[in-house]
Formats: sequence, structure tokens, C-alpha cells
Amino acid sequence: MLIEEIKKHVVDTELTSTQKKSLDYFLENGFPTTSDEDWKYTPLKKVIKRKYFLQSSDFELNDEIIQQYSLGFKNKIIFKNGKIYSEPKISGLSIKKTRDLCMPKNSALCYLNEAICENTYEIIFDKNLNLDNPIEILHFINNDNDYFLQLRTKITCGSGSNVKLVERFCNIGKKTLINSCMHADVKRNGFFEISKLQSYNDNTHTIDNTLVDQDRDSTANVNTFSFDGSFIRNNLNFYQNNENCTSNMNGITIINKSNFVDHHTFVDHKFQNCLSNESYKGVYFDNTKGVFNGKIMVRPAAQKINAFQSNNNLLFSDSASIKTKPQLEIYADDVKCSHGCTIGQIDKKSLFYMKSRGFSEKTAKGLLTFAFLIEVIEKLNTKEIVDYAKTEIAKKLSIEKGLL
Amino acid sequence: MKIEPKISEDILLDEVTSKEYEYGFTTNIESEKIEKGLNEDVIKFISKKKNEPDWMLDFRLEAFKVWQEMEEPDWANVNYPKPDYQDIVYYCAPKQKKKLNSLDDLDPEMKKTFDRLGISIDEQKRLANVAVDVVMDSVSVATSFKEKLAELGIIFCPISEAIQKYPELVKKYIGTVIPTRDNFFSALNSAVFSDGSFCYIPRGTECPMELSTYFRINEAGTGQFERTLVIAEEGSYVSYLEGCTAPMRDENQLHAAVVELVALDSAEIKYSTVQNWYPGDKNGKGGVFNFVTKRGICHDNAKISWTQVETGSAVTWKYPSCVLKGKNSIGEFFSVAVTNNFQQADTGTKMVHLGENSKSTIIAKGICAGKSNGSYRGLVKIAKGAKNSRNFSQCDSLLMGDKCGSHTFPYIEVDNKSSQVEHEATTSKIGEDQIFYCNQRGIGTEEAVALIVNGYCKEVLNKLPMEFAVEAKKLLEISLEGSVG
Repeated sequence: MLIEEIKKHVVDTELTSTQKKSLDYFLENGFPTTSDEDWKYTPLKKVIKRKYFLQSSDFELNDEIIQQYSLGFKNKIIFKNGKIYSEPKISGLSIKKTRDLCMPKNSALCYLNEAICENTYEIIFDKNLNLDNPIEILHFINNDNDYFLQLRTKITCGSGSNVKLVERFCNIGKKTLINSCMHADVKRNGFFEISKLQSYNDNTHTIDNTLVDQDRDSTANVNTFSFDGSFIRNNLNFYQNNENCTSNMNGITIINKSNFVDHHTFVDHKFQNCLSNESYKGVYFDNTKGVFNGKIMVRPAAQKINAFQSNNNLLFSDSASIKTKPQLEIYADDVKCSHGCTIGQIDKKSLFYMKSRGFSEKTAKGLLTFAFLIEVIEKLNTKEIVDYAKTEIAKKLSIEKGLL
Repeated sequence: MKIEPKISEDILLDEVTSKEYEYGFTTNIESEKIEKGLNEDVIKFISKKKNEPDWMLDFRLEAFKVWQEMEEPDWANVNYPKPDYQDIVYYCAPKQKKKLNSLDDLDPEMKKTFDRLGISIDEQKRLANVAVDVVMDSVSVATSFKEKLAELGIIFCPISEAIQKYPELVKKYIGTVIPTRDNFFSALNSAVFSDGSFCYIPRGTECPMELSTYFRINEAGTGQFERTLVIAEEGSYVSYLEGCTAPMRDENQLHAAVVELVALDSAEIKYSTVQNWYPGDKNGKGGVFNFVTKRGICHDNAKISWTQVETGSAVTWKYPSCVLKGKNSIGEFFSVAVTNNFQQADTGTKMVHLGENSKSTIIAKGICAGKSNGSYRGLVKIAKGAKNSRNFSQCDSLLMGDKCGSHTFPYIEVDNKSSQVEHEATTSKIGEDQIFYCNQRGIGTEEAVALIVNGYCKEVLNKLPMEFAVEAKKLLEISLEGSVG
């Protein structure tokens, strides 16, 4: 269905040679199915059987809507249906639109994105640019028809720069499937952090591909908060292309109704003396389904690697399910790699203890669940983001935020 | 303190890597084998040779049909030249003049083989109290202690004999745990298996001795396809051992076995394997391809425990599994997998929880040295109905040398809220501080490594029956000495 639409769409558009190549690759391989190992538990078929249109339309955006979705940072880069709407004036930051940009890919959807995305933006942070506050990247989406939207950004962090970003997709219109590709290139000694706030309405399905290339002495942090969304698939890849890189991944997933969240992460340790740290926590209510697949690869030359991965999950319903696969592939011997994975419930004794001290069952459960998540929250260093996370968590656990 | 010069380590390493496979001899026994290749006639020939009833032949032909439609899987993390299935001899038996009644009638040449293997049937008979069934080139050649077991109603015999004598039992259970179409190798095995062991423990009986099977591939160019079926009736207990060796040959030999365990209500089966097939030489030439399907089904309150020590084979592809169908059933998996030189192992387990309160434990220890690759691949599945289920998995890998690889692929699927699953895995090498500590106390690096590895594997080795534990320990030392410089 969607593939027909794509074929129809490309007939009227002129493609560059890179785009043509990518399109051919995509058409040859098609959308991933559950027989692909990486999509084993993720029924993309259900999502793509709906009729989506690829043409975009325009809409009015006002401050009121922007305020509603903003966390209140001063600097914002705002996109409207994938096109740039406003950008902050910061010396050392430049944003430009390009067409022919080949980016690394981690799935067939990246090829599709490369082939048909009309608005590719390069966001460049100059070297030694030190930003005190995060910059918000807000994508507002509102289309006349059900929409299959391609978002495509390349972020370059110059050497020695310090960049923090907050990214949010805000769909205020009809049913939308977002296919987003982001490639971050972190140069020498750079620091890059992005927080992805994923609280979508039921109209929004997202496939979020994030690839991070790291040069020597750089640090990259990716925080993913999945609080709502009927279909969320996150592909997160780190490539450590030189020595002494650090990669951190933090994730909080807390979903209800029949939401679906899938995290696929991959860290490629190619050089020695590198670190990676991964901590994903999930809480699942109602009919939710969670998938986690964390892969750590240590290549033969990559000695003295320290890789840590943990995935902990709480299941609160018999109709909820979790499939997890923490995966290690190690080809070097002088490494310390470990992963841990748990699936369980709130400790009954702790619950009883709290109840016997006058907490209602709901509050006690809520507080214990929050305590379960706190390890990840404590790693966050921006007040506004911690605040956002606490608000959403309190809402999900139906307890007062003041308690947290 | 004086640090040992590097040169001596190299010499040591050399010595060990060039250490020859101890069991690599061949036995000159006249054997009877058919032409290479596989077709319906071959299957009919095997079936006829075994004097099998029609239902068995139908079972085989059906499996052959299924197998022809299947493709050899390649999802495992191993690389090897695909065997040519038409270039294998599917039936090969040591020639025997007459049916043997006791071990004393055994061909002296064959008896010598057993002595060299270290089984020494006589000795075991006296000391270890182990009943042994020996399968050589896919044919069961000797079974000891038969009469004594028969008094208790325990049946322990070659499966070909069981098909003749106890067809209703075999018919009832064969292919129920591992259906013919389960996978490529189980289908192949179902079509061509020539022998194996059959074991039946009647209701409420505790088998007084360890039952043991020794497998050996002797003849060149043959494949070994044995089939083992263990049935433990309500409330019974059996401990079953399996050991394997093969001569050194330049070509790759195929071993595709199927082992089915049935633990009925409250029964317990303990299945231990020491696998020491020829691993190939230090350049990766030759060696056995070990593609084995092992699975057990646990009914209410039953328990199945798999213990394996894997040191041999060029390529191992093996996942002993438990289907925890009944309430309160227990599945256990303890494994040590050692790979050296060019060996590749993709091994692990599956624990499928279907019954309430079912429990499973997985302890997998991998040791990789040389240029080898070891993978743990496991599945823990907790179905919606398996309330209050519990699983604990731990898989650790120890790397020796910078050219080997260790991989972990654990799949965990949970579908209810009352179950608890834990999984942890670590990968590291032997700490220099640990070795230094031992050196300081006058323990040489060699010994220190053996000591540390032994401690590392202890959890698993402790689960092995005594005689096997000794052998396993020895094997570990042979496989690993000097791998760390």
C-alpha cells in the first residue's frame, strides 16, 4: 500500500544520483518484515498498511502552540512539516538546507529516507562553541491528509564544542507516520547530548533512526524518554571511530493503553580505551508491548574497552509483554563487558512496608516505581528535562508530582 | 620477583597447541558400510537391515520427504563449508559374526579401543557401577549391566532393539518432543538414524546406577546419526551420561544426533554430556561438525537437568532445551564450552515456560582461546499462562588471547506480570592481578591459569557425576594449558 504511494511519488520528482541509488536499494528490499532478525518482534506491517500521503501542505503556527510543547528553553529551532520555520541567532551555529547528502544508514528505512526526503538540513556547530543551555528542536506536524513524513538532519559538533539538544515531534494534525533520520558527527573532544522526548498522541507512529559518529576524546549522550505512542521504534547507533570515546545511553519507557515501544541500540567499539554505558528502564501497563535489543560490538583492535549495559523492566499487567535481547559480540580479550537484564515486579515486602506506614497502595506502588526509575533520572543534568520526566512519570503513575 | 621470560611462554604455548588429540586413533575393525549418498533406497536399506516394522520405515520416509524440502539454516554465528549430504556414508557397522551376549564376547580389537578411550568397560563394571551402551559408527555394539537393570524393570538398550521389543513405547514417544520437521538436522536424523540408546524407567523407580552411552565415529567418510530416547515414568529418577570421541581425519565428519527426554509427572532426568569429538588440527583442518538437537519435556513437578562440557568438535551447534509444560516443573542447564584454535561453538539453551510456577536456571560458561569463536545463544520464554515462573540466567565468557571472540545472544520473552526473569552476562580475561597473586605464592603461571579456570567452571563441574567430573577437569586442562601468556 505505502510502497505504491512511494512509487507514485517518485515518478514526479527529480532524484539525484545518491537518491536514485538509495531508492533502488529500498525498492529491492522493501519494508522490513518480522522475518528480519532486527524486526522480529516489531510488526511494521500493521503500521504501513494504512494509506498515507507523501505530499505536504502548509499550516499556521502560533506562539501558543509552540509554548505548549516547549520546555521553555530560550533557543529553539522550529520545523513545520519538515521545513525550517525559525532558527535562533547564535554565532557559531549555522543551519543550511541541502539535497544531496549521503548519510550512514542502519535499516532499509534510512535508504527510503535518503531517497525521498525533500528537506535535509545540516546543523553545524563551530569548533569550541560552548552552549550553556540546550537548544530545542521542535518539529510541528499538521497535514491535510494522513501523512508519511521524512525528517532528515545532520548535526556536526565541531571539535571542542559543547552541544546539548532537546528534540520533540509534535503532531497536531491527522494520522502521521514519521520516519526520522539523524546523523550526529561529533568531532575531536566534542561533547554532544540529545534528549528525545517521545510523548505522542495516538495519531502518531514514529521510526526514529539516530546515528552518532564519534572522533577521539569525544562524548555523546542520548537520552530517550518514551511516554506515549502507539508505535515507536528507535534505532540508535554509536560508532566510535577513534580512541578514548565515551557513549552514554539512558532510556525511560513508561507506557500504558496499547502502546508499543521498541528500542534497538548498537555500539560499535572500533578503537581502544573507550567506554560505553547503557541503562534502559521500562514500566509496562495494560496491553503494552516493549522490545529491547541492545548490541555491543567490540572489534579485534579495540582493547581496554569498558562496556556496560543494563535493561530492567517492570510488568504490571498480564496482557503486557516484553521481549528483550541484550547482545554482546566481542573479538578482543582485554575488555570488561557486562550486561544485565531483569523482568519482574515491585517487591511485595517493600510494598507492605509502605502500606503499613499509611501509604495507599497506589501511592506506594507509584513511589516504588519511581525509585526503580531514579537511577536513570539521576544521570540527567538539565533541570528542565528532569522536571519534564517527573511530570510525565507522575501522570503515568497517577500520583502527585510533589511526592517525587 | 622474577618474571618468566616471554620465550618460555611461547615454547609452552607451542607445546600445548601442538598437543595431539588423544583419542585420534582408528580401530582396525572390519566394518560393513554402504555406498555414499542419500535416497529412499538407502533409507529402505537401513530400515531393512535393522529389521524394522513398517511404521518405522514410514516415519523415516516421511522425515526424508520433509528434509528434502528444507534448507540448511545459516543463522548461527559459525562459518563452515556446508557438507555435501550426498558424499556421506549413512550406514556403517562394525562387522559382527553373531549377536553378543556378554561383553566378554566382544572383538578383542574393539575392546582395546574401549580401553584406549578410557572407558574400560570391565573396570567401570566393577568400580563405577555404571551401565554403558557403546555406539560405534552409529551402531550400538555393547550394552553392559542389562540383566541387573531388567530386574528393576528398567529398559536400557540400543534403540534398534527397542523398536523390535518395545514398539508400543517407542511409537508413543518418538518424535513427540522433537517433531520431524523441527529443523533441518532433526529431519535428517529422523530419516537416517541407525542406532542410539533407549532408556525407560518404570513408575516410581530410582535407577540405581548411572546409565552411560559412549559414541565413537571410527570409519572415514561416515556420518553419525544416533537417536536417544529417555522416558522417565511418574516419580522415577535417572542419571544419564554421554561421551563422544572420534579419530583424527583431515575431512570434516558430520554428527547430527537427536536426543529426546520425556519426564512424566514428578520424574527427574539428569543428562550429562562430555563432548570431545575431534576438534580439527591447529590449522583448523578436519574435525567433527556437531549439529545436535536435544530437548526434554517436563510434566507436572518434573525436573530435567542438562549438564554439558563441550571441548571438542570443529563446529558445534547445539541447544539442549526444556519445555516446562507442567506445573512446578524445573529446567536446568549447566554448560562449559571451551574452544581453542579454529573451533567454533554456537551453543546455549531454550527454556520454554508453559506451566505455572515453573522454574529454570541457566549457567553457561564459555572459554575461548586461540582463534576460536564461542557464542551463547539462549531463549527464555515465559508464556502468558506460566504464572509465577522464575528464571535465572548467567552466562560468562573468559577470553584468552586477542584473536578469539565471544558472543552472547540471549532472547528473553515474558508475557505475564507475575514472573521474574534475571539475566546477566560478563566477558573478561583472566586478571593479571589474579595471576600475579598466584605467582607471588609460588604457583607458576600455567598452574595459576588452570586453577582460575577450574574455579571459574566449578559451578558447572560440580553438577557432573564424579567419574565425569574427573574426565572433564582433565579435558579442560588439556584444552587450555598455556593459552594465556
